[in-house]
Amino acid sequence: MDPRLADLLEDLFGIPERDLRPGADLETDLQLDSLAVVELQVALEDVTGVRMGVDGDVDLRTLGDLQAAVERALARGEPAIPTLNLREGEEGR
Amino acid sequence: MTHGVVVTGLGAVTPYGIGAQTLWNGLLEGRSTATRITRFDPSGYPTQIACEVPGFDPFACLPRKLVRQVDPFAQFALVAAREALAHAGLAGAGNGMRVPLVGVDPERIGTVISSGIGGMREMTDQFARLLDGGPERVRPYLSIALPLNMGGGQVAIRHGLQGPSFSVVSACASAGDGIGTALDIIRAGRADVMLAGGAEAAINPLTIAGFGAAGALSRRNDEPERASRPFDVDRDGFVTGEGAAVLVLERESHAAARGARPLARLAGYGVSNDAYHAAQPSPGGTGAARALRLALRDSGYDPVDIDHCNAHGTSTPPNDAAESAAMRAVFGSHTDRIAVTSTKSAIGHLLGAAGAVEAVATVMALAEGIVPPSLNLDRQDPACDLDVVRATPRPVEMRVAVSSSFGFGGHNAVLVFASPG
Repeated sequence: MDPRLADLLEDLFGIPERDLRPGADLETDLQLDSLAVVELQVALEDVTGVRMGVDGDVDLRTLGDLQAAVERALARGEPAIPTLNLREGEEGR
Repeated sequence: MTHGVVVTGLGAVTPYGIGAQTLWNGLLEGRSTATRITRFDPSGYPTQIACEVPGFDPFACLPRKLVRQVDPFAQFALVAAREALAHAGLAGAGNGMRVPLVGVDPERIGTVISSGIGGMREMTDQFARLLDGGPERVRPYLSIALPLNMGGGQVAIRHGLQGPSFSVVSACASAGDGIGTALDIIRAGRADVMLAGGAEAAINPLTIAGFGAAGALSRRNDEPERASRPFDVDRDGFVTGEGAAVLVLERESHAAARGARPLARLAGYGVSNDAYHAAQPSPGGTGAARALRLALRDSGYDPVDIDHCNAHGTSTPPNDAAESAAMRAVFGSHTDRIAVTSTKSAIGHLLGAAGAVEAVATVMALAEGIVPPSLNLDRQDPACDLDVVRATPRPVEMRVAVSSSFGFGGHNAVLVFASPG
């Protein structure tokens, strides 16, 4: 798995690496609802600079589905407009 | 017949740290919590000081997933609520996404947990992302992190509280009005237990700039710990604070049936609007006086019964004078026998959470029979003709106390607490 995806799953949702099985159901095993998935997409775009969710109609059921969608998006390589993370005087909290 | 309502639990996160007892110890110590702002770089701002919760690590208090979907104001609310429920004996073990509810029917317990400003950090962070990169940079969790009700909402979700649940907003009177509203809900029979309080995390460039531009904030940047000085002749505005407090309000018969010990009785609530000015109190404090009288009438107590007042006491020139005039108008010569303090002298003005933190302080004062000092009262303003406790805590035989909160928008909220006996 792309370590950036693994890192975000841990950072945003507290999901430990040992729970990251491709067959894990997003909703019932990982408690990731549709809102969480979109939150993850925005965070992935921040980190990779690449637009996610390009094939928006694909049904994501498992972690494997999600990983494959991320890989497809990275391969397509459309740029996401990056947000500058660091500003003068602002501390990330 | 009015059902008796008692307080059976307290929780707080304040500039003294985490816990209601921590708050109380700090108030008795008489230590100011005002410092130079660290939440952002205040260089160039007219006001550069605030009262911040020291060393608050939300990841140490709450599950990571929950921290990530809430604004800091809701983090404060969640921590305070957990403490209050545990104190009341209504929370099972654990600190996860869900905490078991014990001792009460889930449908008969709700929340009125207020905020005056809400998810300000969420708003300013996401607005910056919008300006930099357009709408697709805005995170979807804004929809649940920004709104003012989400402190209370997330508390209800985490603890399985299925009863009435919403926030009451009236600026600096929000939590006072929220506690009063929760009292009404129990009296109306809609619930047996209510978590009532407020949460605020508004030490943010936009709020400090705006409230500063309005002249509401003290500019004593070189001596932060002396800046909040309610009723003092040299007061020049309030010091912004942050944090949360939650009280467990419970129908007296319900508490007795499960063997819960009341800390105090919430005897009455009075509410009014000045109908005068958005940021100035009505001359002579007439609106506040009305709320005081209504609160007394609701409680069944007479003015001469009041032993202690936890004042709104913001340390602004207009409020402290108007509030003093209101007290004189209502209590007459008995005013001299009411021991007054302002919690804001020590922890600043917590805005939408102020009424709740001060209610906690009032309950603890009643329980212990001690009034903490109002800090920085070097030269009392003759226009503030009150008996304000200064320098050291004063033991006071007290049975009944009032806690007042007055907000921009002309909102006045007064609560009457009494010893449980």
